[in-house]
Amino acid sequence: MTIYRRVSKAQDRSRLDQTTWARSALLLLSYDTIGAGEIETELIDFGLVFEDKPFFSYGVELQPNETLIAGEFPAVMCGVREWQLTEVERDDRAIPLYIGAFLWISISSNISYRLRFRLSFEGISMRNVEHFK
Amino acid sequence: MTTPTYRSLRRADTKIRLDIEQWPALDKIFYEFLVEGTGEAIAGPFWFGRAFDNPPFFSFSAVAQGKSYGTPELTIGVSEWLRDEQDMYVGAMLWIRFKVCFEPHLEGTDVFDEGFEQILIRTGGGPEGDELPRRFTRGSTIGTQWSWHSTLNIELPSGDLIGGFGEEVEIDQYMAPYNFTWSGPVGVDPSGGEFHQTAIRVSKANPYAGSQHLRITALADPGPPGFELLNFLFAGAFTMCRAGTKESSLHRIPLWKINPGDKVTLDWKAMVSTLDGQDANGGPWTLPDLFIGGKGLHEVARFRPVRSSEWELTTSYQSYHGEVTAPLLPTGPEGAFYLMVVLGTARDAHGPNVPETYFDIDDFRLTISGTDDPARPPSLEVALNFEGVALKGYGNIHKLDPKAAPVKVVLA
Repeated sequence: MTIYRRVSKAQDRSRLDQTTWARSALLLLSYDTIGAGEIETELIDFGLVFEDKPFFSYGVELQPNETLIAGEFPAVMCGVREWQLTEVERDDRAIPLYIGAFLWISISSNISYRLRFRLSFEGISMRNVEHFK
Repeated sequence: MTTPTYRSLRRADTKIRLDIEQWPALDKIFYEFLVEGTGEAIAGPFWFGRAFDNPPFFSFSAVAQGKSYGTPELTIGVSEWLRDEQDMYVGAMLWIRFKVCFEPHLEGTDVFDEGFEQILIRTGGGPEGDELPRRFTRGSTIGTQWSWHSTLNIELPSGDLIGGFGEEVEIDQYMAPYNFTWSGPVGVDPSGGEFHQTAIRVSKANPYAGSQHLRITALADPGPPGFELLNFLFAGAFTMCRAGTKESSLHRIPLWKINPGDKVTLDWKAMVSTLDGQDANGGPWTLPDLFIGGKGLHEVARFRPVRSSEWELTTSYQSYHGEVTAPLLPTGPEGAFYLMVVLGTARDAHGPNVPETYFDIDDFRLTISGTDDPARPPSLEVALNFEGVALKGYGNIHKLDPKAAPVKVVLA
């Protein structure tokens, strides 16, 4: 009886691993800029594996002790230039997984503001990619 | 004894500590407000009604009310975090910058070099020796072959007229905006075969004054079985009511963003002169014309220069200004308007010795205003989102009412 119950627990745990290998994850990052113009960021490594394109959003704020100049408020835009992918094989199909992103940032202003972009990536993250197979 | 009081104090103290230390949770707060006008403004304060231990993640979304026009640029950022004595983040001030960038469809000095799609009318050469389409570019010479009986060669794509004779074929062909009559032989040129003369009837569908829309009907079958109509070659007299044309060409520039009722203004500089100072042999010159055309190339509104109703021969650039209201006319299935420029010369003077002319347009500027006037941008419904780890029940934060946030921000 005892042995049976232990086996059952192990099976339950294995099943739990299988069924809870993915969970919602929110990744918050910040990226500081100085000046105006356009840049493409280096690779932003999520440190996570999203099963699909994570929802991306951003906010921007002045860095501390920075002051806005009237008539010269900055206009900013930010977006994903390219996703960094990895793949897993499943049923002879390559399943793309999202592990990072390159961003583009555009800042229009005649003033060299110091800004802080706060980036958000939200999606379903996989705890154990092997379970995806 | 004071024990009960002491114990009560301890309990209260414990509870406060619990409020601060044990109630952190991921929390969000949303705001909605209206943005009117364009420009920039500082908006706030937006009190959170709670305390975030770090700057909350801030994002926004915006929905335009009404039609959007031009290219809207909206930036909302945090200009200042509002912090309390414990350095908690309890509110924010925002900067808002909203501009609608309106780019005229055409502006520049050499737009005529690039913007035109095609020249539809050719001249000269006759049925067998027509010229290549002449692209009108800045400074080019037009009208070198004056002919009282101009040759008009309308080349149709292969297969367009397949289907037998007796059928009426409508050609999407714009003619110079003058009445004309047609006579003379008309040929049908089979692929690789000899030139067959046939009879056609040319009629015009002319819903708008000043334009011609050709309808061509082949009346008889002049060729062998399987004959395909590949080209209509017109060798007839092309008579303008203005006593002849030397050359006409049509340029179309799609103006996709014009809506009926919009006011369209056009400013340009132009010079129409003769080469080498030759005598203009009288005038006035009445072309080129610039006008708005609808789908199907019907003229629907014309820019009438304010300075002068007619073009004149000049030795320097003259400034012109015209404005029209885009008509409330159906313009075809796509609803497109075109800016149409007809280049040509039509004169009262007749004869073979009309000098070569030089035509140039410069400083071309087209602006559009009206129902989507950039000066009246759409209002924006903006939604803000602050998200972070908040300490619930912290201090007196509950006294800061989130509803006290602005409901409308007017930019200037």
